[in-house]
Amino acid sequence: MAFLDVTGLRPGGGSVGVARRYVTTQSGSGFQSATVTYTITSLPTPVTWQ
Amino acid sequence: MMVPRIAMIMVLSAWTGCLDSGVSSVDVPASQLTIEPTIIDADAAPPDGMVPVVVQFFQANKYVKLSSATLTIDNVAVPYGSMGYTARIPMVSSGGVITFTYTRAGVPTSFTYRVPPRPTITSPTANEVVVRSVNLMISYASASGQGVRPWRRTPRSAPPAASSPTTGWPSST
Repeated sequence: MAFLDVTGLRPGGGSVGVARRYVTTQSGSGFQSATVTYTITSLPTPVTWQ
Repeated sequence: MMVPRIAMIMVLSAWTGCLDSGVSSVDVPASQLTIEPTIIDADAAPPDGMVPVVVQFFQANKYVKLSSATLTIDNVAVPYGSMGYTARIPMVSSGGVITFTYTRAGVPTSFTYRVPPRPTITSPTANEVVVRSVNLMISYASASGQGVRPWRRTPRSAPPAASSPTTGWPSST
């Protein structure tokens, strides 16, 4: 889970989402070292800010 | 109006040239290189079906470019630019693989990367009425990852709130 300060938002329609970052060091890649950084986001979830 | 634009282009060109001039070109086997691809999958359904990729090479911890070897990602040629080797590649669904291929003197060195799962938010739920609190809890279906960055949107008509943070890595579990 994650936490987010949303006090600054105006009431009304909006959305929330998360982005995850994966950092993976590949073994046996043929390179001295191979590190892949992959950032992937969720679909936005529509909400109504109260 | 044109003068500032031209000046900006000249400044950017000079800046790019400065960055590029300090980068060594190398012609070495893959086994002597560190490769660091960065992929930003920020849209589950991008209009062009592509995602941006930046790849950087290092030799002995020094940023380098390839003098004769080439890089392809899923058979897409990746040219060198001021930020490294950059391209937009066809999006691969979670669980699919991306293949990076370094070819030097006709000899390819490849490795594959499996695309991680896209996080799915479980709370708040769609169309839920959410109280604007200091610590809105966002839950999501999880897999291992290094960090999570929540984001929120308001209607386009709403002005940005100066005191509202939009960046940073909040606590996550």
